[in-house]
Amino acid sequence: MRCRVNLASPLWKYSGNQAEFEIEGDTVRQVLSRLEEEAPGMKDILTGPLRDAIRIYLNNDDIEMLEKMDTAIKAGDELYISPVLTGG
Amino acid sequence: MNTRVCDTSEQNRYTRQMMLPNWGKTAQQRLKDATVLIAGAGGLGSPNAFYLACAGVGHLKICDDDVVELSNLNRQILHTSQRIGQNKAASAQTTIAALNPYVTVTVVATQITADNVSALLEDVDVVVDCLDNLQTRLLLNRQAHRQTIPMVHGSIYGMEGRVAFINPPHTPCLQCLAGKAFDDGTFPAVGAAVGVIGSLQALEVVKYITGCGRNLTHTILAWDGFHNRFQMLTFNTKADCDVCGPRQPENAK
Ligand SMILES: [Zn+2]
Repeated sequence: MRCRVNLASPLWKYSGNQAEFEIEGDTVRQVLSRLEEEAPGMKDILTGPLRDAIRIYLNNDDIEMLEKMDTAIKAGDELYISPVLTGG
Repeated sequence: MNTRVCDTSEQNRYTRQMMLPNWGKTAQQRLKDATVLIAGAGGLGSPNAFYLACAGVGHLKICDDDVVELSNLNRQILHTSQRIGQNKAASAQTTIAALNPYVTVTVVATQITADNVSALLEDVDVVVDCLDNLQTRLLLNRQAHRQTIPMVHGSIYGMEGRVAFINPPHTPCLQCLAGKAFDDGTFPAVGAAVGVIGSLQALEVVKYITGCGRNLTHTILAWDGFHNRFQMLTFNTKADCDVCGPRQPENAK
């Protein structure tokens, strides 16, 4: 299934300055692993030391409340990846 | 304990908001009787201080230990070029006194620490989190939870931001959301974007005090000003949250 992935702006410096991706995958895990292939700079965030600093939302729901990385993707779904913002 | 909003010139000031259904004199008096802590008199603290003062919140406690710098002035509209080097909370008091003489401002020119945070929250009805680092935000969150004081969280990065209304013990808290800090260094900030988020925070405070409207609970409003997107993200209590989680002994029913 084709899924849109939107990145919050603090992540752009890891994604080669790209804010939006269109990625095929059946689960969140598959989509994120293909995202890492397309944007290798995202490795620290998706599977590396910064993983605990971000949250992943599928259609605005935190995937921790769904099936986490095994959550199934439907056509037209949107993943949103964001750290907690701390600036004020 | 406070005086009534009876002075004609004071009441005239609030005419346009008192026109709202369910506002009137009662809600206006609630604002006058309220004490709001504005934690941080920077980018987010600026619109909060302006809008809470002109809405008629009777007592603003404004806390910031920093001084005004030239590079603050692209977004921190409480301050002026003439006040570079002055303490930000004191500068805020000067600005607010000129805007609305019916508001009492208490200047707290110290850093928020584990030692002073409980005294800072004493007699406060609502706290607005306008801080610029995760550590102090979490400290404030923890103590607000202990003292069951609602906290309006706001945060920004560049042209995007977040708002959430935390109402202990009924809602998730900031600790539920924050794992580890992502990037706590110097962050980009556009003044108008900080204005959007700070104004949304101020409106949450006004709604809470007046009872008009519904607060943004169990949801994080994520605003992306780069792409003009508003998202309502789910915000859930983390079972093992060491502030508000059900497994904490002090939270046991
Ligand atoms: Zn919590």
